[in-house]
Amino acid sequence: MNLQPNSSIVADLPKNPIRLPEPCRRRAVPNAPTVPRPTGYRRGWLPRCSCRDDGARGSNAGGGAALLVPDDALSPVFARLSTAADVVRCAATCRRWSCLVAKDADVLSRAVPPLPCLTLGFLHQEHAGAIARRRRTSSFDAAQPRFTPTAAAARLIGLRGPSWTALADAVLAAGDRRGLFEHARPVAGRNGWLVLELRQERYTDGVKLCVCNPTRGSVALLPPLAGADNPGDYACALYTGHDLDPLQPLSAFFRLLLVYNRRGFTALCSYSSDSRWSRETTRSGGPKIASHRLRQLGQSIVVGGVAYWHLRRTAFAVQLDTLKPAEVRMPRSGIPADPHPGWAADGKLMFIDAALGADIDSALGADYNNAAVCSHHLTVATRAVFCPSSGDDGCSGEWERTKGCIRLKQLEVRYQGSREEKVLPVAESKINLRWFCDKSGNLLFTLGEGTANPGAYVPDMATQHVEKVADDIDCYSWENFVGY
Amino acid sequence: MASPAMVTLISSDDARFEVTEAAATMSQTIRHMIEDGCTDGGIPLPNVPARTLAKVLEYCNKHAAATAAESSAAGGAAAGSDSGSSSSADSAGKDDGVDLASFDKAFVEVDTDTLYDLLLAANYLDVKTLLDLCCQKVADMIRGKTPEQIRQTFGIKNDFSPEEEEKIRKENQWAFE
Repeated sequence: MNLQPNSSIVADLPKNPIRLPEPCRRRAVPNAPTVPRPTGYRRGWLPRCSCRDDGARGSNAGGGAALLVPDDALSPVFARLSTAADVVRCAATCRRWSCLVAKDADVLSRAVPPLPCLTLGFLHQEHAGAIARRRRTSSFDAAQPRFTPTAAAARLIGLRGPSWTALADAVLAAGDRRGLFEHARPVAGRNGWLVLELRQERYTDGVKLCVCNPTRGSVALLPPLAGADNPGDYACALYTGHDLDPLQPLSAFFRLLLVYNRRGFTALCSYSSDSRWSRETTRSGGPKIASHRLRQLGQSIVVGGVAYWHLRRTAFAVQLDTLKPAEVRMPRSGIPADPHPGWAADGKLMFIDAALGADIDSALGADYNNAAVCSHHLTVATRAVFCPSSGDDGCSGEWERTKGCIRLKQLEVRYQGSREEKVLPVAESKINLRWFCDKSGNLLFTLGEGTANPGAYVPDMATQHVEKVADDIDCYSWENFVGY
Repeated sequence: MASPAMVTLISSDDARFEVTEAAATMSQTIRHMIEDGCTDGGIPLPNVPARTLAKVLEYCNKHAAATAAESSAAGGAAAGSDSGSSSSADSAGKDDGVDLASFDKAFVEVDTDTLYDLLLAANYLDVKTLLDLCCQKVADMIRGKTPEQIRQTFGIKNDFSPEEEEKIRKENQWAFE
């Protein structure tokens, strides 16, 4: 069983009205003038998959009677299935039915309970330093954040390989706004939503953020924070309808929390889709977070309406509705000093560490000390678990120590180099733990140059199955990595 | 009582069907065409063959007649409520309901191809109750079947690769047990 409460993708589906195929158009009088459908205008990844299948249907016309039934006649059929297992088995019959079930999950939600969550891929940026002023003369598309899909994304939304344009195609209209995501920096991602910092030339005097949902094809441009409001370096947490109680996975609601530094203190502000930017809240008490730490904070973990970031020996916690910050001490030992991704499960916070364990069982083990190539397995261990107490403050709780560790046996890391290098700590070994997709239980990490298999990997922590999603040599230098 | 208004429907293979307007307007598509005044010389339905149209019209005639009977019964009941005849009108309406339900049940006891044709026609003609009926029937046919059985029943070509199929199975293990 790999069930998670609520899905990050299947529940996050477009609420677009079902497209009517030709015969269903109202007043379908022969020779009536047809309204041309706008071309080059994409609205989200999932509707696209159904476009692709429209094409497939044409070529498979002899494949069976079922293929001829238009999508909007088939969807009500699925909606009438009384058990979720029936719906899932329908989705397993062929690509088109699979897409339809995914696309219409909001229609089918009566029958479909939580489906397992999927990691669709990740966004990253190459040449993150290049902002518009120092724009290289490279092609316009390469300056956009690149989306690398997993096998699940290939199956569900038809993205077959890394794409510079997938994101813009999903949420932007063709034409003048195409350049919007040029040099955009992926900031945060959660439950199908993404936060991007727009870095075109005209936004360089402030922070201009954009919140979008590529599966649904929706996008919101936030009012820029310029002048006195410019936060400078900041960390960002995202809170969506999935986090609400009761859960509203289809809601367009989102809330954004920014943590940044002012002279002498750390400040907070938030943006809600229903109430816009909040007033700046000053963190009273507690030291200012060092600016260089703030830059590296990265992914936040959101549990029970509180966002947590891993600081050096503490966790910085902020209540998302009241913006009340707190700092929670971490155990003295057993926690890596550098922030690593953590995740939330069963309302608890998990912080993980990774290390390379030498593979002494292998043939190389016999000649361990003289081997020019060392073989290691990546071992991921849960180092600490934080259980938030269910009080009004919500920012206190108990720490638990754990010793569980997962050895990813399928993932062998070979190093080329002298034997001194064989006990490299993770930080120097070009293993970069990038992101933890807490809904699907997938860790995203990259192996850099010098290892035998550089690339980006997605191990599933529950099944220990490892999927390689990209094999770029230079993935160690990727910046602003956000899992999706 | 004046004879009811009739309209002529023309199937894709040029067969002509004469039906009452009450039956024809169960189809929202035809209702809009009548409202738009394109009924002269018959209403062409280029997506529906005669065999299917005959079947759909059988359904529409039955339901339109039942609706008419119900409304006249209701009107009679309202008019005669002082004289205490409402109970008999109510029981007549209930009999009609049972009759219609069994008619509907028998109506979709057809082979898969005919059911598809009906589903397509109901979708195109926008006959909501018939579409509901056909969808429910197809859903009933799917219920409890494995993906392979569903493919066989509906003639679906499996276009997943073996790896993809295995992945789906793993992701949704609970649905296959």
